[in-house]
Amino acid sequence: MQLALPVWQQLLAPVFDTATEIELVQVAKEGVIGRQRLPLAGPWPLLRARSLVELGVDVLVCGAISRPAHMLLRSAGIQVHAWISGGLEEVLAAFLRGGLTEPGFAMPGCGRRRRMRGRGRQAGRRRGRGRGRGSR
Amino acid sequence: MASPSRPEDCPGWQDTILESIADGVFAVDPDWRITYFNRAAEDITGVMRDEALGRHCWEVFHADVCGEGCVLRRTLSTGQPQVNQAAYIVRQDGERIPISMSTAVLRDESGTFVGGVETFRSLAEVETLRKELERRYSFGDIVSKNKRMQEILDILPQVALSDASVLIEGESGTGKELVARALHNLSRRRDGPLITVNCGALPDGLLESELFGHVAGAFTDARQNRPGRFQLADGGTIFLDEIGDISPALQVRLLRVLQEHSFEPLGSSSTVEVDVRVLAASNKNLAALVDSGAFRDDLFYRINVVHLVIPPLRERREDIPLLVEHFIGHFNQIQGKEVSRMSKKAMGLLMSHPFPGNVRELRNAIEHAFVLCPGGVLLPEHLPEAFRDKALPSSAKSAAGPTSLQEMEGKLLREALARNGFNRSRTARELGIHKTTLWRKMKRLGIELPEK
Repeated sequence: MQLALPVWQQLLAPVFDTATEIELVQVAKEGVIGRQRLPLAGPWPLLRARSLVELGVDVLVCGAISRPAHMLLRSAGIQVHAWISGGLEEVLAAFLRGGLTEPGFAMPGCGRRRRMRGRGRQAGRRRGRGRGRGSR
Repeated sequence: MASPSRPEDCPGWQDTILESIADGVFAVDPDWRITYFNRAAEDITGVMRDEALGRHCWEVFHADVCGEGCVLRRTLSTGQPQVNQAAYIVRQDGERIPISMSTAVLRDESGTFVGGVETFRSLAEVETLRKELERRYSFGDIVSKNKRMQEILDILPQVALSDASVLIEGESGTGKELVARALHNLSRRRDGPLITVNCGALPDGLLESELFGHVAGAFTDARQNRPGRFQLADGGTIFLDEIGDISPALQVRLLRVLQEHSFEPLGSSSTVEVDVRVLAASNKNLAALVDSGAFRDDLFYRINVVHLVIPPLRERREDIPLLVEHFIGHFNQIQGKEVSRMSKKAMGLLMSHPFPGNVRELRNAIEHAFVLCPGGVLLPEHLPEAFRDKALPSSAKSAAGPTSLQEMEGKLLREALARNGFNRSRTARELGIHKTTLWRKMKRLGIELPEK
């Protein structure tokens, strides 16, 4: 299995859409059997998705990702674990042990996605804030 | 006598200002961890302050510049504050929010670096207006969770990358042009022009001149050469909407362009060669038109290399709440209103409406409601009369009424669910069936509840 992790220095890159490098990791039953760092093509999501397809990537673990990029990857058959943050090695180890859902790897605010769609929802949230804070 | 107190004398006045402005503000310590996060920053990023404080700024902000292009780092290295830098943040629902950001370095009295501050403002409204003006919609603007639509969205990128002709079929208002624009924007020709021609809107003679152009003197009033739409689309894409409406004579000319990538403008003897990808759309069933002899079969096969059929809205009702939310966000930005949501009752009316005009009709209904709604919640009385007038039997309003027993059952269930505010227990009680029976029937008929 080919695993791709967009990187920035020794961290998982904050945003997939603009990451400039990926760590390509070959994973077999016995664990990691190969690793290499490669540049990732320009900011156009389609080009990025194609690059990953051409590299034979099966799974992408990344930070923030835009909806078009996510849809393109999904349509290319790539499994995406998004909104993850942390050091490259920690994230890779967590992935290998199936622990990406452990506390500490989710970007702040994950899990409240549905509450933030459009300005209208924000307005609703703002109105409810007084009550929400008080009841916390 | 005590002197009048000034605003600056009030305790916490700076905090009050920062909390009341519409610009997002956050501060970081030398370790890039967030130490301050104001309310507007919460609204723009979608991350609450208590979740943001203490986290690295890039984990919270996820802007395109985070990492290599960090504006604050640039400020630190150059010593120069950065003002109104264009960027975008990726919000957790995957939306890209364009922003304008400024940064400054924070130093204590001795000049030691103690952190940085970043202010940013959302340009989403400006971007929406620009999109509306330029009709610059893309793949990400197609909103659907319907299985058939998802299948189309899944193959769209591959279809876009090929140069094959595409026939997009669907009822009026289903979004055929949106799909065509997404195909163009995803293709290698995205930097080239996308020229749209509505073949049904022009009389035959005019359409021929419009498509292929003419030279001076080709006909009365043709005083100068005029390039046709095919020529204007050279290097890009031409989208022929309502192609089922063109005459047999024009079908022959069109076929030649598709086969030979060349044509002669009206009145000209010289051939013009073009490199154009053809996307066509029809609200009629072109195969049926071929069977009846109204459309040439050779042209049909030439444009029908890839065939996409957009389902009508009544067959993807689960998209209605999603689309309503999308349009509320859209019109909030266009009209500068603060509409938060649609009431359950109003949503119920929409869910039981036949939507002969499809997504366009839904969009118009929401726009209508926005005119009447001062803000807050969209109520039934804000919707157009056609939606509120439920006294009429819906079969009288819809030409496409249910034809089979299964469709009748589906319609009955949807209406009962809408009447009961999508509460399954109440609906089951009203229908005199068990809750699990209702659930099984809904599953079989593909009826989904709107999201809460």
